[in-house]
Amino acid sequence: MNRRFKRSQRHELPSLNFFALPDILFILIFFFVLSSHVRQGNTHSGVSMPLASELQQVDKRAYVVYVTIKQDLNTHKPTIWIENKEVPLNRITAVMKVRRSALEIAERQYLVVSLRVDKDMTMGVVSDVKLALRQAKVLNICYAAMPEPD
Amino acid sequence: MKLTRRQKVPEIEAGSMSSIAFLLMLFFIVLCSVNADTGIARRLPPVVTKVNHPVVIAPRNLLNVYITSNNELYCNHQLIGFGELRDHVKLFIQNPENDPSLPEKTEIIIPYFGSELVTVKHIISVQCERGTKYQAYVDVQNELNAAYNELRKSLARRKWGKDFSELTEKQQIAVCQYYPIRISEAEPIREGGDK
Repeated sequence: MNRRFKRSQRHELPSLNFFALPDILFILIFFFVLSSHVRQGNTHSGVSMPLASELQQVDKRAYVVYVTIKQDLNTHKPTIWIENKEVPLNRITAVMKVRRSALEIAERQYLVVSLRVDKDMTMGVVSDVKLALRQAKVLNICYAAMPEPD
Repeated sequence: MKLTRRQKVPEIEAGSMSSIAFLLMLFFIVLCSVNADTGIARRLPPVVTKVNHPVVIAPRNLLNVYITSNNELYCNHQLIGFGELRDHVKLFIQNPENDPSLPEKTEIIIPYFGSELVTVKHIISVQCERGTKYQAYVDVQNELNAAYNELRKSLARRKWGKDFSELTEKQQIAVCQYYPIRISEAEPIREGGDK
């Protein structure tokens, strides 16, 4: 009988259980989902995107190359970025030709350039970039825009 | 409380770790899917080095949309407001009364519709100046798309009573053949040879 008492007196630290943690996380996630909303003039990599109502989704089979045109903060001149690398205007045709030739011939028709231009940018630079793309035989473009808020 | 050697060190319960991982994954999937890739698709004209046989476009088939550096909109050299563009374009594309000043209609055979009169030769030319704001240019492209989409939607409603997005792919192709998108961003050459 003494042995039985001794065993019950051996204290074990209760282990922490995380059974309630998923429920707490559920509540947190629902809170963030319900309280978040799309900001007007949503920015994509430092560009204030234009708004449009007739938007099309980029084709799922497309090879998208993101070309961003934004104003430099210091010099206030437009700068052209091809996927996180700044490219001067006179090099765009060469860079796009290299990208296009890297694709198989059958895949080249799916090459799309998504033009992300700041909405206050003037059309001069955009026209120059479009001409450079045409010279590189990249003809499918998409003027990226955000949906207009209701 | 001092732990002696005989006391068991509590184990960390890892059974619910998988559900935590799934929840976090779900959260980030929902977050990233909001960043959808949307825009207005266009096809640029190829660069022409030698113009042997310049394409001659009859003035009735050409709609000139021009945006100045002051973001003023000119439709066939007439100053209009941005809100009026859609109706002008719809009238131009449709030409319901076969007006001789609007695009000529040709009879073509479209699946599901049979023989129909369609303005196959119409071209909308969009030009702007170097100082035009990009938002104004996107607005014009948006209005052009809206004109085509509205015509296509109303055709789908008239023919099948359904929304355009509810049609089958073949039906959608037929509707698109009825109102083909013909937007040019190149320098138009008017009849007679002068630019």
